[in-house]
Amino acid sequence: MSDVFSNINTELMIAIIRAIIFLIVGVILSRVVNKMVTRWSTHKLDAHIQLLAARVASYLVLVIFFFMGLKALGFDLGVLIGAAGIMSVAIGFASQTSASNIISGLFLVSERPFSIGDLIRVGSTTGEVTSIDLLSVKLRTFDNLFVRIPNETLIKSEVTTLTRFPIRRIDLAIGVAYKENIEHVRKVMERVADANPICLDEPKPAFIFKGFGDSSLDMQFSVWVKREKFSELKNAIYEDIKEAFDAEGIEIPFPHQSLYAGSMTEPFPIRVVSESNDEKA
Amino acid sequence: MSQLDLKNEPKYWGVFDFRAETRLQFKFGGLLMDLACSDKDWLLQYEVKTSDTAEAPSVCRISTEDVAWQLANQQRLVSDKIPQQFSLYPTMPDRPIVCRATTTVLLLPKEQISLYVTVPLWLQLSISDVKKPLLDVPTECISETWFGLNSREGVMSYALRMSEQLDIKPSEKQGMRAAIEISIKNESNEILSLDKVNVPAPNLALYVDEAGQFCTHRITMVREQDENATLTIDNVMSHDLANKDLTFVCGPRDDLGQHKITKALSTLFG
Repeated sequence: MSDVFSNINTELMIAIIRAIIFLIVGVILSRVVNKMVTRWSTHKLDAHIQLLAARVASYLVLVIFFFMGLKALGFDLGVLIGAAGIMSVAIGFASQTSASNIISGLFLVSERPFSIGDLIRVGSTTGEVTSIDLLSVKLRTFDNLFVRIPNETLIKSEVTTLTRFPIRRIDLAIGVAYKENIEHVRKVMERVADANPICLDEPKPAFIFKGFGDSSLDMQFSVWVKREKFSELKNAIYEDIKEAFDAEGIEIPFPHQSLYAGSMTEPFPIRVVSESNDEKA
Repeated sequence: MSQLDLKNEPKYWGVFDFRAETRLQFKFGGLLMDLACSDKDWLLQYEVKTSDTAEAPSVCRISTEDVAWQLANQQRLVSDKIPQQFSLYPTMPDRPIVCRATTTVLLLPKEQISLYVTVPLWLQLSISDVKKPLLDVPTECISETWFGLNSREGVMSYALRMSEQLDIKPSEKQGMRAAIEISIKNESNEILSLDKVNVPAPNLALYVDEAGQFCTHRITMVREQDENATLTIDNVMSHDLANKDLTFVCGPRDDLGQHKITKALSTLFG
């Protein structure tokens, strides 16, 4: 047993311990720096820049202490940097996806299509951005799920930022029976929009007649709302329109088909069978 | 102008004593408010309805055993030491008001007019030692609107549709509304269309006269030669009420002082 200990190089042991200490101190300091930068920037920068500044500062501290640890182990940093160049090529080939995500992340940070706290839609996923990291963007969906989307996917796909502008438009698809007067329907819907205080007065609601549908006269009624009240108005306005249509006797038809076999077609024969006849039969 | 005498009765705003087992029911234009006090809590109910806004405000002090109104919004204030008083003050709206004329008003070059508008008031309910009001609500149902060049840049405001009264004094029965005189000067060589005027309501202080009619300082808007306009809150009261005995009710939510502010034309006139 004593032979084993005698074979260990004491200087190497001290160097390793020093390197570990550098690493531990580096990790602790990087966390402290992260918190300090976050605290300093809380009321000065937006959430996105705050996160970026804190990350850059903490990574910088970590890298410095990592190299100090390597130096403590006796590595020549000049040679290391040269080797790092060759290594990076090898690592780049081996981890193309990660490298692509990192580069995509840099593009995302510089382009800033969204920030932390924004509501975005990527494909079929809609959620609030909780963090923008080196490899991925993290979302919290409305049903409280955690979704990680790789940066590369975000760069390649269509991203919709729902909270970019202060106001939003709600497009309501509405169909009424063919017997209805379109002008009257338009006035009723305008009255509904006018009566709802969260429906914006300006920009004015827009009415678009979309055409003759299979079962209804198809129209679009678009109203504007403050971004934060989007869902509230979307629910309320459908209710209000239904109520107003019922009050005005405007019919919202269900899908139906009329059978017609040309001008010579006789009306369908109808036989009325009374209950008493049924019983006799 | 004198300070408001809060001891005077009857009153429908000011500082109210509020002991246990009492209920206060207020009606301010379209705002209904029911406030009940028990040993350990207050129950506050309120609702803003579309009703006759010109109706005079009213307050009714009854027992908690009497029937309470059933209103849409409710909140409960609980404490070991329930406050014995609260203050209730009318204030100016928390956002600008966009006044839209039912018929377009055109102002010829180098001309000046005075328009009179009445804007709905808000009501703030506060208790001592708490800076933020417990309640800050409009006294009538008012639509939101967007005032800006496009859907990206602009400000959230409230919309008021009205037939501008040119050189006519506001109605005597204006209820929970404040009269504002807007003096508009067109110093450019082009006709100025006054389809919409953005009234900076949060920047105005509120006063009341002996008859209980609310008013503010006069504001002056000048359309300059270029695409700029200036806004000034004048040191005179709207429709020359300076001679009357006015009482200060509350200061502006956002104080601009008596400074002249230069803005883009599109931020004042639509």
